[in-house]
Amino acid sequence: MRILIAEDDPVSSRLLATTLTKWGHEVVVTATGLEAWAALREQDAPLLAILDWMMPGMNGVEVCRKVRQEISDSPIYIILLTALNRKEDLIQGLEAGADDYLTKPFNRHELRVRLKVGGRIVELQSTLRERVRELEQAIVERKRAEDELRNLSLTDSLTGLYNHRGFFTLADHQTKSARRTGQSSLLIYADMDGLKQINDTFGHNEGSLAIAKTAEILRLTFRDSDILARLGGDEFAILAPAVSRQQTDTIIARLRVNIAVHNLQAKQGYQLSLSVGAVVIDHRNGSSIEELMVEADRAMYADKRSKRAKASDIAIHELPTRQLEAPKLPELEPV
Amino acid sequence: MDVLTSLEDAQPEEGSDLVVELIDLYLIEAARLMLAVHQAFDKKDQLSIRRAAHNLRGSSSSLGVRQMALICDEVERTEFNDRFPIAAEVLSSMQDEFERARLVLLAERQRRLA
Repeated sequence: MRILIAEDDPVSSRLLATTLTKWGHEVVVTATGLEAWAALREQDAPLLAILDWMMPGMNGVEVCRKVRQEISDSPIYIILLTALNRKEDLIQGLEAGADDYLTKPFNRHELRVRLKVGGRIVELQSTLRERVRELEQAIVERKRAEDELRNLSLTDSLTGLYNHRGFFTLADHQTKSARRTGQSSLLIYADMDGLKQINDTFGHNEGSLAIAKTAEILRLTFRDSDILARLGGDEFAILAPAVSRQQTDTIIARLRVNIAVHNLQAKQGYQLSLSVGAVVIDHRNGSSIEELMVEADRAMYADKRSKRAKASDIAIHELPTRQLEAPKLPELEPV
Repeated sequence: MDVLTSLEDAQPEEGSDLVVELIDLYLIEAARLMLAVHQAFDKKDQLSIRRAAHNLRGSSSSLGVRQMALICDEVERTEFNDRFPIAAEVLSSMQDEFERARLVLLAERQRRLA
């Protein structure tokens, strides 16, 4: 163990250093309180210190107090060395933060036993700190792994649909293979209307619920083989492979009907509404999925604008009642 | 000199005689402190007398120079105030004891080096 000695009496200091060295310790010898304080503040400071009480300048008790005040997380074990043996002096020393004391001239056996106690405590504290450090490290690593996993994830945790990353990974793959087989697909960009109002009026929990319900309606409307995604916030995207140009209107209409039916049945204080833009992808359309998304986005905004023009309170977009009374839901042809 | 003998326990396997080294350290330190005591006495500086006596007691007891440690203890505890003639008497016996201890230690040193 590395042990610091602070002792101004050269005879005691030499004797102490020789004794400790002979017992296999590495000693750092200082002769004043200031030197001791400087040594204890170093990065790799000894964890056990034997400080003489009476030293010129800063005495042992003062060093002790400073160590406890300024190196608060330090596990330094301090033994005060003193020729004084008055009880009140010892109490003063222990109150200043000393862990133990030895009276001079020291008895070798007593010194050995007290060092053993100190060493054991230093070791326990070091083990404890090491464990705490390991745990802190483990928490950091775990958090990093979770973040990484979240980034790697293809799924949106709120809705269970694909997320932005999932959508583009799968959609890219899908459009490429569709072009090869010459099949056309339908790309839909959908944006919830009035989510901000729902959040502001009913709170963000209700807003999340509205997003989840919208996802549910999308799931109900589209086929299992379609790629449904929440791109973020109130934006959704759908890629439905093997859909002809003629089927597109039917699918959009079915989506609108499902939203309307939901709004009729639901007892929430607001109605769900989606603005939708659709693009058909076929062999004539060689654009990338990103370019097609921009096109679908533009179509969606046109839809949103037309709804705004129709009603001032556009957040709640409803289908005409007539259409609801005749729920002749169009069916998709199995393909 | 039984304390000196017990100090041999700390003697490293290799290197010079630890007791001789400690005696040398003590003689230098004690001479310095005795001088400090005398100078403080001339200035009637009670605090410095006590501080030097305290240090000398520490060195003396570490080396086992018991009589010297006892006198130092007495000087350290005495309130001289204006009774400096008494202090002069105590200091003179302190000096005598130091001389006696020095002779004994030098003899021991000689014996060990022989």
